[in-house]
Amino acid sequence: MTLKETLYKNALKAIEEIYVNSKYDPDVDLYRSFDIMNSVNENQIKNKEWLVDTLLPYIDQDKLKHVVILGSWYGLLSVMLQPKLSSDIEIRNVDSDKQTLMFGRKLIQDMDVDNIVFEEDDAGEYFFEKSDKFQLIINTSCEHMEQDDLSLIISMKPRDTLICFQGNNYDSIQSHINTHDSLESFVDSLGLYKVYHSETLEMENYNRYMVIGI
Amino acid sequence: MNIIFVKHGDKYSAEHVNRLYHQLIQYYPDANYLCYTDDPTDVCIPCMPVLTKPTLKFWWNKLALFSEDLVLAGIKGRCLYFDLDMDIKEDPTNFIKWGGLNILDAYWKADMYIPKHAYDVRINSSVITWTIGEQNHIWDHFLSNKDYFMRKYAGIDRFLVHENIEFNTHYDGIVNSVANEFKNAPIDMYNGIKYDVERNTI
Repeated sequence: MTLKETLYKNALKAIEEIYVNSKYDPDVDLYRSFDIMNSVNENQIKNKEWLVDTLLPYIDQDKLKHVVILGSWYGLLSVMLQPKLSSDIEIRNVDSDKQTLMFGRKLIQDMDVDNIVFEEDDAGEYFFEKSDKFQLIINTSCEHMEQDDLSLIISMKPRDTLICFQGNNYDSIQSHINTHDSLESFVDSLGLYKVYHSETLEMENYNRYMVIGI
Repeated sequence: MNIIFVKHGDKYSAEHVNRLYHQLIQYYPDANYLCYTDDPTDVCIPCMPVLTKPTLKFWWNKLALFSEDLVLAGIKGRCLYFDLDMDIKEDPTNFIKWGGLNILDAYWKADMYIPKHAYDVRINSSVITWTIGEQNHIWDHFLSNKDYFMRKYAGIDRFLVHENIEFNTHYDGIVNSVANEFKNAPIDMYNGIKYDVERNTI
């Protein structure tokens, strides 16, 4: 079974579990199943593949030991990135929604991905306490984060720590509080010392931006 | 008593705030009027700036009325909140309930089929009463997982109901929903339809 097939099998199993439990427990959150579906939909896969393919040439695997994914949701990116990295590199998923950690662990069942860790915390606060630990910082949901938190993360990281951040111009979504009208605006907002790569991925309803740099 | 409006973004203007104020002051001349806004330009009543964090969009800013920041800003006592897309035609006092959190019964949805997983509700938060400092748990709960709540719920009414926030509803007859069959009531509400401030002068 391919990684993607295993991922979908696990997602279906998680959704099934939610539905079955909802028959006996009125407190079961049915929306969670829809949220899980969205987290592995075609756009999410496309976007994460784009990120992995683009980012890999900039990674020095000899120096890389710890990766953090801030605002990791159910951990899809970690699942897609980990097989491309040396097995001793740890990927840490950090999200403030504790349910994403529980279901994230279910999504990686039966996969050969031992070095994926899930932690519940506010992305910014988590990083501020461990700003020296990671050699690669990934954030694919900058549109959900306060601009000054993003700026603080970048200002606190060691100079040579690589960042790969994504944002978008999808302004009509209620929880998108930090969107940008253009790739240039997104790049400028981050204030990086050096930009290695910046690119736009055109989606059906919006543009997604990616910046890799230090 | 405080009478509070929320104006955020560009959907409503200072004119909407000012008109509602002029409609209400004849019934509540001694109230402390306050507008919670990101743009106080031309607003004729005292304004309180929106919280710098977290940044919120649209109607979610209403929930910040239940934050500790209002207590810290020195606001005390009972609060009466109105959405800006309303017309106050008569004194609504006798229809307003106090004690705890009180919102509107969305009588126009009484016969509507609402599947459980649609999360639609038969209440409406266009008129709210509460006492400052007594409902802070609502804001705290929202902050506990705000991104998820904003994905799950299309608005704060759904959040209140499905997150099991305790509330009562104001007395029947307080509002007339103009999008539905006419009902004689002291307040016309334009919930869900385009609201034009020039439509009705005071």
